[in-house]
Amino acid sequence: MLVLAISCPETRKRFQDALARIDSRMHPQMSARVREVVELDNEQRGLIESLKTYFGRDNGKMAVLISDWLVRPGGDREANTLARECQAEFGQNAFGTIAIMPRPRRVEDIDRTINSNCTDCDLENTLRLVTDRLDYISPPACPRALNAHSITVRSLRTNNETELREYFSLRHSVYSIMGYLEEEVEDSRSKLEVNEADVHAIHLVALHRDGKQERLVGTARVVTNTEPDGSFQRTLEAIVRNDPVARQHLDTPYSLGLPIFQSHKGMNRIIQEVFARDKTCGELSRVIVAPEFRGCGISRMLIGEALRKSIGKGVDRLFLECLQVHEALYQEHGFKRISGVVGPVVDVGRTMIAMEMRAESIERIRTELPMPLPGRM
Amino acid sequence: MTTSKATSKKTSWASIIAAASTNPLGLFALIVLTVEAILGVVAASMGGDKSGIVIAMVVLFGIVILSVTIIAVVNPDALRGTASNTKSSSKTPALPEAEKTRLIQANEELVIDAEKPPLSSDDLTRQLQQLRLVLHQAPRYSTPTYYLDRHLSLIHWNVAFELIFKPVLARIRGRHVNYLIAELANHDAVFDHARDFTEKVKQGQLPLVDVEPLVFDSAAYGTVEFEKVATQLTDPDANLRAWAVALFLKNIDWDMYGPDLLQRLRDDKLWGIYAVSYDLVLSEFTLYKKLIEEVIQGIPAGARRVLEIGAGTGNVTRALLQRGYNVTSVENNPLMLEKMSSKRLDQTGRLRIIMNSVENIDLAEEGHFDAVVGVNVVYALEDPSGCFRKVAEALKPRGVFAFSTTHSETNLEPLLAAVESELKANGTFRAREEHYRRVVAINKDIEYTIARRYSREQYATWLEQAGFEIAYNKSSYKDAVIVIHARRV
Repeated sequence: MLVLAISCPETRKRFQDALARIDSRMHPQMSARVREVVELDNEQRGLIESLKTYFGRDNGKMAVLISDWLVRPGGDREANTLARECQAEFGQNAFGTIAIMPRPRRVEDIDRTINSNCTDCDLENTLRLVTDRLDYISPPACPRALNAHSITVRSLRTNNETELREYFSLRHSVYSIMGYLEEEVEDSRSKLEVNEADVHAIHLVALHRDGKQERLVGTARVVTNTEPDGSFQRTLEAIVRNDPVARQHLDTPYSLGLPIFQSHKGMNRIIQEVFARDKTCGELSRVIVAPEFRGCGISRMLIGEALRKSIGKGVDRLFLECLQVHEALYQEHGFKRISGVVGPVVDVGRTMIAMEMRAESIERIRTELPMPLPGRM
Repeated sequence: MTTSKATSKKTSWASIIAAASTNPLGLFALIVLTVEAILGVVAASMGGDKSGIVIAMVVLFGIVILSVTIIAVVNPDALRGTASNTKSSSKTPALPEAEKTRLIQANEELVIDAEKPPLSSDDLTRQLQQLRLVLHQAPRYSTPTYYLDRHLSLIHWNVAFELIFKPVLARIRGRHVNYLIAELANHDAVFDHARDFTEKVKQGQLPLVDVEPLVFDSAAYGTVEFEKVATQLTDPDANLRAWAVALFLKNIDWDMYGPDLLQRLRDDKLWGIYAVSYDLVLSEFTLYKKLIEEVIQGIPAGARRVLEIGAGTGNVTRALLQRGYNVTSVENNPLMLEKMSSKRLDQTGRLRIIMNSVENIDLAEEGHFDAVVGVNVVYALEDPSGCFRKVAEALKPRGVFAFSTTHSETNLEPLLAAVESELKANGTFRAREEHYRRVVAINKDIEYTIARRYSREQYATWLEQAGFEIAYNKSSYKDAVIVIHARRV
């Protein structure tokens, strides 16, 4: 469903006409769907109610709200109450937002922003970007039938630049779909999504073998608060040598070790514990599967192996931050929501929840691991 | 996460029955099944009313299911016991002699050449004399091994060592073994051991064999633990000339290492065998000579120093030397190098050969070149993108990387057909048919495994990322390859 909530009558008329013209080229979930044009004087409640009803119905799968009310008047960087309420209500749903604002730019928790004088082409592209993201986070209608042996999960070859490029470029393309990339990274020369946390992380890849050809179709990493791997760092520096944007991301350290420690204020208590007891911590992140391989269980394989590998290397506590929509997936793997810790995450400009792995789940994995080497971690 | 484990355990009926009979419950089930079978046979052979027997069979079956259910609830360990017994029983005790003989005889016609008579002691001696050089290849393979000269400098290593120590090879090549020790995770213990060793040598007690544990944190295969066994290598006059240091693997991420080693050994053999045949079939082939010409044309005017990657059997090397360049050639395959050295190219005094893989050396350390050349090499690399970057670093500004490679749309049929018809036209097909067939077979293998991994666009993107601009990009060699001249920006 596509919802227009535009207070300015001329702008509303312009968007209605433009949408009518591009209707045939829109996502099937958007095309010719009910578009409720709401007078936004006192109808915020009504808007949320009608979206709730829509998602409550069986066929309510995907909705996009186009509005000039999502960002505070005066162009403040922050989303307003409507946006935050929508986020709270529909964090679990395939719900996208496009804010109409005079000077479009990235705004936290808003998928895309657009100018009120945009062309049909701009509008079509912006809508496509949002529906692509919603498609990506919704379960696929008909997952690819895969031979169980055609997927392998293994460590990333950190000395193979060809594989590294494939790895960071898959991350870039999916983060681009998700709208997580800052503009400069989105348009960067190398199209690699890489940052300083990668040099002190455990990396895993999922490979799909089709006949003799092998393709990288999934990624995951566990960032640890340990010393960086020098030779890996040198290889990464060599790869992004010609890309100032990626190089800057690679050179900017996370001051507390893990990105999650930096993005959530509510983590202070945990950070103090960790530093007081000198714990080895890990943060699971970048669990990413190529769009056409979603729904085959690859992310579960990646998560399982990432947890085994990091716990096997001596990680005592494991955290992650994720979209609310993925909470259930991580619960299956023994993670539990850290209450009260929720908010926008710096790198991706999205509200996320924080989770920590239960101590007993870590212990269970540890006992199932093969015997550790004597005298070594 | 590999598939090999799933297929490695095969079960046979015999082993199931053997495993079942070791467990009281399994034994019970076996007896019941036997009784059921007997009852079934009796029922089938009997005429008239069978209802009694059928009821008895059903009741008996019911009892089995009931008792298994009760045991599963009351004492689940009894059921698990069956599983663990199956595992432990896979360690079968040594076979009695008669059984061994029976197995050998049973497989005599099923396993190739098993019917041959045993070798006499003369045969054995003769074989060993004939194969002496061939058998010397053995340490090149499976057990990671490196070689030190008598002053403990690293002079060589084998394929398995190369795989594991890949990230540090450039730092240890030609250096004293201390440089290798410094890369180890247990360097303190190993340096202690090295000092003790030195003391012994000073006291005139040079050990013939030296053993100690080594630990290496490899990027690709986790923490690798070895038992080092160093053995003296002596010349016919019993002088110490070198050390062979075998590293027996005690711990490694086999899921990662196993497939890599397999692939690497396979490649090594494949290229080695290929070298002999293609040299005979291709070196005089008109289109191949033209291809070499087309690649070499990319070298800028006034160039003097040229680096050749993947020199193979030296066909391109010869062309480069004929044009007066100072050539540095990189080649890793010993068979190819042997072929190359038989051509006596080094007489010119302008050729330097580096025996290593282009993927393992720091090209920039070899100095700066006016051009880098590689004919049909890039497609075989495991890390083409990394190689392009290193090539860029080894080139002077405006230097050219000229190469040819297969790509995702490559079709080798027309090329192979052209080779065949040229050999037939000049009357050499008969004499070289066996080698031609081998070239065809290996090319087919290459075509389906590695030759078509990357597209033309992908190569172009990597070149651009490595800091090149493409000056020339054409399909050639009957459309089997593209020829690219890329200039360093």
